[in-house]
Amino acid sequence: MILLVPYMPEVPQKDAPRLWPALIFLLVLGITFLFMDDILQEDKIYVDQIFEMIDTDSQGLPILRPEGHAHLKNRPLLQISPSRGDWDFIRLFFANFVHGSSLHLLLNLIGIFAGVRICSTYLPFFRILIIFILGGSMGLLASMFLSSEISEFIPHIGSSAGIFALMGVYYIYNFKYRTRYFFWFPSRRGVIALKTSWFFFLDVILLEIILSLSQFFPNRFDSVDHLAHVVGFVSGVSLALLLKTIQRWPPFIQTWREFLLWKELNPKKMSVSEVDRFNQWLEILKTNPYNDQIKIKMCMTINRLSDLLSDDHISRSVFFLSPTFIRLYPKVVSSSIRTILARGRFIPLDWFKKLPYDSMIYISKYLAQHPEEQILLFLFIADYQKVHPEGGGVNRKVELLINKLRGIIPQTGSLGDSDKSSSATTMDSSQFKSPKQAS
Amino acid sequence: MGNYIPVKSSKPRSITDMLIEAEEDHFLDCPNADFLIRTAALFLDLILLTLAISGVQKLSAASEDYFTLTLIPMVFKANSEYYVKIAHILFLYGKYVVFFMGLYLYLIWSVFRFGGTPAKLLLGLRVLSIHTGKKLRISNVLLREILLKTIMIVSVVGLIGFVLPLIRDDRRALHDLLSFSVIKRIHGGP
Repeated sequence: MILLVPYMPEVPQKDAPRLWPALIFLLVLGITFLFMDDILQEDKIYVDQIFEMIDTDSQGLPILRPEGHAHLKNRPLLQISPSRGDWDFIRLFFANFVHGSSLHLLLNLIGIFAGVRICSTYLPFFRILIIFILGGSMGLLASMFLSSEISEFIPHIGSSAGIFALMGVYYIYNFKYRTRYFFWFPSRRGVIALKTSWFFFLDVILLEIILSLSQFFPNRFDSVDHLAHVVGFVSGVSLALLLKTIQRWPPFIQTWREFLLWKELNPKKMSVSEVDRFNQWLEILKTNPYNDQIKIKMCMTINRLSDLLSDDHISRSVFFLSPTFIRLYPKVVSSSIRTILARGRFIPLDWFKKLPYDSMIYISKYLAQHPEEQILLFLFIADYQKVHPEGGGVNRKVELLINKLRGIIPQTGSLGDSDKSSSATTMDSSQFKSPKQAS
Repeated sequence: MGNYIPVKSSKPRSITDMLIEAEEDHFLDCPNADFLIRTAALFLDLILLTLAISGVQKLSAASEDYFTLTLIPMVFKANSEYYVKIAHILFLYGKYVVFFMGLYLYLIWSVFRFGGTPAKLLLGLRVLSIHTGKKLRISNVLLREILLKTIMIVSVVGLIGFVLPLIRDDRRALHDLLSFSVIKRIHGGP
């Protein structure tokens, strides 16, 4: 996670995460570290004496002599942090803010900055704080009682369980959408957007799940508390699911702003017609044009109910079919385009003008899959050619494509009739009953 | 504008074949990736490989420790040392097999199958044939990714080949020139 840092969800700029909640957390952790430095130094010197009290068993594993346990029981760090043999809730909560070294603090500062920042898109500051403390404490508690350790007086500290709790919250709220990642490249090109559901899981938690299994065995190979991370993540996921249930947050809503708009458009216990629902999709997409889930719903509605939708509905909806959406969901888009063309409905010329050539190819590939509907493909390409000026680069490419397609059109019969072949010279847009174009 | 003229084939060609050719023609028209985006892709590839390798390494170390220190002594009470040695050897060879298979899939198979390593694909780049706009054949991929890059890295002078995109108008590196390939920027990334 340190190399590929989740930077923000893919949302409009006005919904971008705020900086100040993350800065407050950084400040609190930094100040806590400075105040606790004396206790940490004292503890380091105290624990150095423990090595004289360690023996090894027949398998080569370290064993602490009884005087070692008694020595560890009085270590200074246990004044501010819990251990299995000596804990209480106040020290458990406080341990989320304590770090054992400056490197430990630095790595967790990066994590807390990322975690708090991305959660601030969905949650207010105090909910983030409560989730951080609760989730982190559950992670530390699980680690204390389930890890195999040399003594029951090993303190458990660090904010990483809380960070993973925040990651769990974000994972649930942004599950179906994309996350922007920053990969330390000093340029705008150092940011990429990846699907949260799989990549966030791979980058953040999969390795932790595997490594946490090693903590059940005495000979664990690193001192990182993977079990606390996993339990923290699961706590965050659980708290987020609970919160979403209480809020009645629909699965197709991404940002807080959309959620408020959705609630305004859907007062309690009021049923809404399909067409009105379609209008709501369009309103929400105006707020967040990155919401792919609503675009998919919009396309499915066009497929089912195109006869009920007005030309204005169809015209407004196609403008939300961005090149990225077409590239990621070509089948969904092409089925809607096919429906629109088959019903002879309006497709605005402006949309064709803005449509990149490769997006036209993506859609065409799916339109070509149904031989009985190839006339729709030709209509689509012909209309695309119409709006690009003659002699331009795009027009030349489309001409070349049409010439190639002309070579495989059957020689006799009429176009659009799959049983009969047509003349190759009739491959021209004026031959087709082109749908009326809204300007 | 692409110059590709389809080779006459006895197989009947479908509309989908035509569209694929049109797409390849379009790729030839797309701008060549500049040095900065290529470096960003290299950087991201290193990060993804580091994550994968460290994950596999840690998993392998954890499994090896578990097998050799806990499971084998528990199951084979007598003669466990012999089986522990075998386990160590198996894990050692297994690590190399997984490592090289992973590298093959990441650097060779992904370029052959999809037209780029995962980082290049994420940044909207494609490694294509300079003449046809198609994805490279496996022989070209092996030539480009293994032979040429290894020679360039090993010979210090060859390192200059990596920075040729900075000075050439067509933004091609030495391994691109010798393998008749080019890296095109087909879209702005996800």
